[in-house]
Amino acid sequence: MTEQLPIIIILGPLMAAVLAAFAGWFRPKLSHPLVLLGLAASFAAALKLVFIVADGGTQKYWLGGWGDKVIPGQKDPFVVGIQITVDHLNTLLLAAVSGIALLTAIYAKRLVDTELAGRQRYFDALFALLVTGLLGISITGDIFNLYVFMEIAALSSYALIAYGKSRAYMASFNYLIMGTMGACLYLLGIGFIFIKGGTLNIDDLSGIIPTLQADGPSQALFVGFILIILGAWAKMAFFPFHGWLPNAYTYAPTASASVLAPLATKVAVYAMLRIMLTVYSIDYIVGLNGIQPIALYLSTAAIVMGSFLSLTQTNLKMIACYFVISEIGYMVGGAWLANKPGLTGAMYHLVADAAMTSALFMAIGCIVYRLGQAQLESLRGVFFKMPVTMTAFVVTMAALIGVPPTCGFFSKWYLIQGAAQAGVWHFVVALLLSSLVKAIILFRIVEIGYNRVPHPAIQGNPAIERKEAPLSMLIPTLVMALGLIVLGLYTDTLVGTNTIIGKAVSAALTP
Amino acid sequence: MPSLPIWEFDVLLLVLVVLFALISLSIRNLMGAAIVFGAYSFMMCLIWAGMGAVDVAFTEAAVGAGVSTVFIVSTIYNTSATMQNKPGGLTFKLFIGLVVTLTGAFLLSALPDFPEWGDSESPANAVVAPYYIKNTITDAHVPNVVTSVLADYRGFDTLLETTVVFIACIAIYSILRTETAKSKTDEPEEEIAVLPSYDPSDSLIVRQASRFMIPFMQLFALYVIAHGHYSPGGGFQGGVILGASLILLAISFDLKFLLGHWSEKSLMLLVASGVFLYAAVGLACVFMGGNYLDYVVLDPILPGKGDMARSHGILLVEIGVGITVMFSMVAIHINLASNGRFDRGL
Repeated sequence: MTEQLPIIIILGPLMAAVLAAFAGWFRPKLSHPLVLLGLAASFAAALKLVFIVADGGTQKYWLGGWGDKVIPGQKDPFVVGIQITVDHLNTLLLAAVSGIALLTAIYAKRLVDTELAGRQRYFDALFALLVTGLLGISITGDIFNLYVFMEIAALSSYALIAYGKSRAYMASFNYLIMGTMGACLYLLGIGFIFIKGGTLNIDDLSGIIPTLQADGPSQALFVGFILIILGAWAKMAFFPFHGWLPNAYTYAPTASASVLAPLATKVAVYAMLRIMLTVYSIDYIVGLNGIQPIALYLSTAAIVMGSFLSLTQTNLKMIACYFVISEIGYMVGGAWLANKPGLTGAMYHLVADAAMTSALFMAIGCIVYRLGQAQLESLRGVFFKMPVTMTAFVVTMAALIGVPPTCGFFSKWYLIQGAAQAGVWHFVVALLLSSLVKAIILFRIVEIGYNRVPHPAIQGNPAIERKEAPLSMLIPTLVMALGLIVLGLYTDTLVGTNTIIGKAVSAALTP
Repeated sequence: MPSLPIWEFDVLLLVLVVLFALISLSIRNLMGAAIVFGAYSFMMCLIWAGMGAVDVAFTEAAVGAGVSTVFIVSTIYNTSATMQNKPGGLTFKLFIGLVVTLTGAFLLSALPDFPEWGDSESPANAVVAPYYIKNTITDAHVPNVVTSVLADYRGFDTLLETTVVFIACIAIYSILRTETAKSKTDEPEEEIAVLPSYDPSDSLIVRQASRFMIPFMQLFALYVIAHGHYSPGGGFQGGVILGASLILLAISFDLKFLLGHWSEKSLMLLVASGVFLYAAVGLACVFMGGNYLDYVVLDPILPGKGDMARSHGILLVEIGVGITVMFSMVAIHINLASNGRFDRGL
């Protein structure tokens, strides 16, 4: 049964979504447990695969059994169907995406029941389909299949965002335009690669592309590469394509935002990494004169701009959205540094940031559930009202700032090391600046939430009623926040030389 | 360079495509733009056919020129045919022009690096394609290579594309079929006055003509699905034509007439059941000991001799695709035409 594990990761949420769509008409109460079951199966398979991959290396699965076939006129066998691959680069991401999706599904139940009362017939199905798309992008070993999964994830996220009220429609529409543009660029890029390579399989392409350029660089492959990178940037809201993200995730229902914000952008970053490192190679990227510095300057711009705009916002959700935009700059910058610590930082941050953003949006969701809004001004006394939630929030902010021993410290450490090694000092400055800005925002929230009300412990001051979010929301939030510390403590087992990320980095660096 | 058979014809089509695209963009009346856009799709369809991609041309004709034009028209019916926004200033136009020109120049810069038109030795024709052409008969007994690539070699993509259609349908349903839309169903009386004085559903000619056409459309659609193994066509095209026949019924009579035969619930359940059929066939393969969508292992439970298993498997999933596509088209049309109220519309 172990050889079927890769497909279970996809089938769990996919079958659950279809069954939930049926259940929505007969037994609406059943659709949420069905989705939980599908996501749990997916998470269990992904977790098991982490250990299998750590011991036994890459796992390949051929859909329909169309694996290595001998082709007339070619000496090596080719994959003629679709392959899904679990290797060192994506196995941790798969576990993170399915795990966070499962926790978020548990967490979102109460929010959906209150925010979307009467309209949630297809919410669970769309939620599971979104996760199917995200897991599919992360697992596939075929560049066209990646595009199809991208469409699944994108279409379901447009619907999930449009579930919000009034302004969400326009935000979702802007996202639709930007997302479609990104998908079109990506698809065009695939066309350029297929014209030169003749196959869509990522492993086969990584063998073919160097041979095509033996006599000099190929312009078609270059155009294809740039188109795919631009498409991925539009999908991940990288500067200057970030305009759609803040409104989309702020006006979306909190339940949708808490699954979209941590996962959707991270998976797009992974797609970029996969194209850069496996389809093309690190030598190819370093050989592109002028592109690497541009990408690094844009990353710096993304971090600086995201940080400064987060300072100007008065809505907690909006602030979190600008954090997401600046964190994208971390990962893109780390990837384009194209050296060992930079790539290590980018790959580690992929998982760490998914966890951090998830914890952040969960904590904000708890606050919104009780206070009804997320304006900074409304947070007065929130530390006395919801002490447990705010503890999780402070831990998350500490991770985002980069305080040891949380995971945020280690990823930032590697990124700064990589930037220093490559001599890209503007990126180092941007990383430090971003920490500073996040610290300022944390202190501002502490100031409003803790200091602006008379301390209730002092005699004579009015007591503030404690009212935490319901346990079904609070426990996932705490688990996520605790996970940030655990992830930080286990950094060594993830990024050392002979570990999963270590092997992924050395595979990328040795052609 | 291999000589193109009738290059004058291709040049004419390319000129017309660009012309239609420009006209459709510049017309201020959206209804006119939608019609020209449909014509544009027909030209694209001819270009695909000229390239030998008949299956793609078929899909373009059914989806691009057919139902998507109807969807645009029903959206206009519920919104407005006139554009509200003013075009941007000169600086804006120059900026857009610059971006578009640079993008176009960048795309064209790869042109010298491309293989020749119709080159049989080009990578796209020489790497994995020969395998499909050589083995489609022995593997699957399907002479139409496009069908065997679509539903067997790359069947996973097709499952997911069907899922995309399913998502599109439930997304539109979730956005338009809101509580406010439902409550409006109970108070339609006053809106009769707003209806256009010319009511197409009153036309005897349209009713009788569609009454005559619909059975033949459906028969043809079933043929397209069933004969997809041997000739251009398959689940997508056949499903769209089946859906179009019901949409024609809804347009020539009215939505109430159609909804009397197909309730909201049954439509939405059928949309999901097509995807379910496809995914379940794949799952059955896993339970029978093969990989996902490896139809060969279904041999014991399918009729016919052993080496026909793939062919039958393809037929099953094509039926799944057909069901989902057909009812998605109908449900999307009803949602758009009645603005989520499911009472009356285009």
